Amino acid sequence: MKLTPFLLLCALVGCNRTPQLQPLPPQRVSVSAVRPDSIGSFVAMNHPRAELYFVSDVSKSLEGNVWRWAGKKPTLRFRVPSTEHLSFTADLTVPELTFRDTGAVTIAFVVNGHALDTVRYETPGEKHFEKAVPAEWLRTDAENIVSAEIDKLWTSKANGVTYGFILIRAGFID
Amino acid sequence: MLKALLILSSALFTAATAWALGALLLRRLRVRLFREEERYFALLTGFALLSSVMFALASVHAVYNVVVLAVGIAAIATAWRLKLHRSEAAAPLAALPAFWNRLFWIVYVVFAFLYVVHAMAPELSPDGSSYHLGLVYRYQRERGFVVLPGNMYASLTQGIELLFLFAFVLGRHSAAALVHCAFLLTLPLAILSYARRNGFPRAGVGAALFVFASPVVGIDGISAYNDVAVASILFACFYLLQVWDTERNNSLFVPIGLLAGFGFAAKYTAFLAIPYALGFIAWKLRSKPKELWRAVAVISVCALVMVLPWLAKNALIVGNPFAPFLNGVFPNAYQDVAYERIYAKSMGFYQGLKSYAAIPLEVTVRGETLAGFLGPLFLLAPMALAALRWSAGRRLLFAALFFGSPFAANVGTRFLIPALPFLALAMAMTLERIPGLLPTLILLHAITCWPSITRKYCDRWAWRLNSVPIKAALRIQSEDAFLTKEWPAYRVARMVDGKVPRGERVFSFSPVAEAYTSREIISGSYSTPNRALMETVWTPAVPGLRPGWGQRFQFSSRPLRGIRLVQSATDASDNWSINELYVLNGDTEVQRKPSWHVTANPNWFEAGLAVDNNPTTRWSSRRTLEPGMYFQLSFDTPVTADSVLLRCVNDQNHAELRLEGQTLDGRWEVLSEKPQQFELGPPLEMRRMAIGELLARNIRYLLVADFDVGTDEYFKNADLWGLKLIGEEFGTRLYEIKTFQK
Repeated sequence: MKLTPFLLLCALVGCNRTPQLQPLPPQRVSVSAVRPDSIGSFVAMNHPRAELYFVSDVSKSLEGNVWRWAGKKPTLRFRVPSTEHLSFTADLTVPELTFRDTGAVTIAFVVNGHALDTVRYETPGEKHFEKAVPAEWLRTDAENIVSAEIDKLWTSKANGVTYGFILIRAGFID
Repeated sequence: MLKALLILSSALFTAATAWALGALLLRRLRVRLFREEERYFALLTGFALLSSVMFALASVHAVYNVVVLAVGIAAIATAWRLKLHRSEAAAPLAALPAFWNRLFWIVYVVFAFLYVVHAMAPELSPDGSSYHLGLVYRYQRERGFVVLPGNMYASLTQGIELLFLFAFVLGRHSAAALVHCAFLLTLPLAILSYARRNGFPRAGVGAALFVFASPVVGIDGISAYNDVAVASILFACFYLLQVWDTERNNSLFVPIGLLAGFGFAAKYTAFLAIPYALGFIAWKLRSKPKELWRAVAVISVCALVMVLPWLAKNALIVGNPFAPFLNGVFPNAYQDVAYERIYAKSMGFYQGLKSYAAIPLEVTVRGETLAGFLGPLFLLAPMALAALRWSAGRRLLFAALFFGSPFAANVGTRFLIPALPFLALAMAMTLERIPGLLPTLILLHAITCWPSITRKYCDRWAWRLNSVPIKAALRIQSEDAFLTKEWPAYRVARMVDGKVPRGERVFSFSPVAEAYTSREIISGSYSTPNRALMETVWTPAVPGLRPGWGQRFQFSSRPLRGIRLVQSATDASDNWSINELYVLNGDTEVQRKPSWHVTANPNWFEAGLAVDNNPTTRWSSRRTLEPGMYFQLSFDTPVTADSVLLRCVNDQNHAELRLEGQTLDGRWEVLSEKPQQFELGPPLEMRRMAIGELLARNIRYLLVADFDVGTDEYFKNADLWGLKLIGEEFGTRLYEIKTFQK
């Protein structure tokens, strides 16, 4: 049977139409490999393994699938693969509800015992904190402990429990 | 001056070669035409033949100066020996009335002078200097075609660019532009001779000058573009069909078929010449089926001679004969449906266009938004409808509508150029009925289209001719001095040539004037792999692209031969994508093996990007959500797992995923109907990972314009990216990538 140019053309282009299995590509060297069994450099409060990061003063109860209550001095632990060019970041909320009673609050951020910054929040609402961390404060061979201590707590009239602020996510970024 | 002479002679040599080839063909076919027609059709069919010759030479990498000269000299010498330059045998067309003859030549010569000067001046058109001549320059360096699947423009038909190549190897950029100018200079002569042959010479003068003086026709025709060439080819095809209808000389089917096919070879949108020619013949021979089939066969074969090489080239290189279009029909690794849709949408309604109602004024007077204007005279275009009274008018209006139909897909003014000769003839046929009106309008049109006048009414940044650059044309002002002053893109291209060593590759987010650099430019928007690479480099710089979103499918631990994610939603805006996919057992990732396999539907070509251990790269469906899309990982030996984790960008909220697993007996069963969704946070060292993808492709230079995404990030955090600024020109920065990481 003669193979006309058109049929040849169809044959040439037709081979790509069905999805083909292909071998895995070369694997890149990534410092962000998933290790669900251990802690990493960043945690969002809705992460299924978020509690692995908590040292103290962070509620075990996830609210609205996004945030958790923090107490007086929420403390978290992180591991970093390298110490250069890292910043510590946290997204938190000073609730309207607590702010009405406490007024302006101050939060002191401490990394491995070093005072990173102290920020005074004069208004309620969502706050973003981000500051570069000197490389020599951090270590790659052990956990890095970060705390964010609030100066005023709020006590719920309903249940008498004290609350600091709302924590959404925190960790190191580069 | 010597350089100017070389440029001019190179272009003339190209045209003479084409004419000789065409004249030889017409002599062989014993086609009887009027003297003026003979020259024109010899040139046009010769251009088609020369383009095919160049295709063959480029295919075997034989595009050397000496070969080009030999081809030209052989063709011209043969034609000369056969005395084809003497047209005594052919009768001239009936003479024009003296007044109309003078009017035509005065206006023609003035504008022809303007155009030749501009075409001889260094090339600085946006598309001409980026891809039309960029590719020509590359082919010239490599002596022929280069496999460039990552450049969508290399997949377009390049019939005219191959004519540019013939001229370019001898006289470089301006010689190529002059070849396009040859189409511009001959088109009004063809319009006029068509009108003279058909008994409306005065209308012919009007139509020829309406087209010739039109600002968008002028600037397009003097640039290394192809729209005026396309208009000429379509008009020649139309004209020859009319000649055949009168003469019934079946030898004309050969040049008709060649020209119809050459239309496609020049530009995809000009494929319309083929159905037009076949339709015309079918209508005329409807009562003679035997004759009809013979005619259809000859025309089709001749057209396919021009068409098939381009289809085959694309099929072989890209896997899609119609690349970069029809990617839904011919899925391939180099272009994707999502981008094709975006591209088509952007062409169908240009940014800045307020409404379709604004188009008439934009294309006739304003000229900025739709890149060019026809001249205010064309506001009278509706008067052409009065030509419906005559059969000649109806034919012209049908052709205008038919050949102008691509304008619906691309509303750029230059997409009206192919319809313009027909429209102008129909307009002029109507206008000449009012005594004294046509010559008045010709003069008014010529005046209002002159560069110093157009600036008084058109938009400031309308695409148009501005001045008469005689010094640059004659090279009294050097090419470098002229382009440095007039064309910022040239300065960027020269910077690249000056700073980047030979043989190195440069990744650029925006197109570069590749006609002026010999370094290989990987342009971010030109193909799917390039766009994927561009998105990768953007990922650390653009918060919305960071892969900080997790989806985890949990199921009871079991051995599996493979896993498959199936998407079941429909959505017209979201694409589905995965940056990384991890298979987990307990709290440990199952280590990937090189013997595992991956695929996806659609876009299996990029499936590996989701399992390359680089969270800045991602597999994307590159289609909006449709039920049945899947992503599959197959294991060579059974893997025990209890969850699958996806790291994604949070831009696909409408996707609905379920996880299926392949059991040991080969069956697929649902493992998890729905994932748990949460925030993973941004991975560390994204910059290093992203830039590593450039290095992995042997790209060590990055070009970032001041309007590009992330321009400040690359500049401010250059050290974090491993970038070293090595040059800056007109807001475009050139970085060398210093870090090398596997």
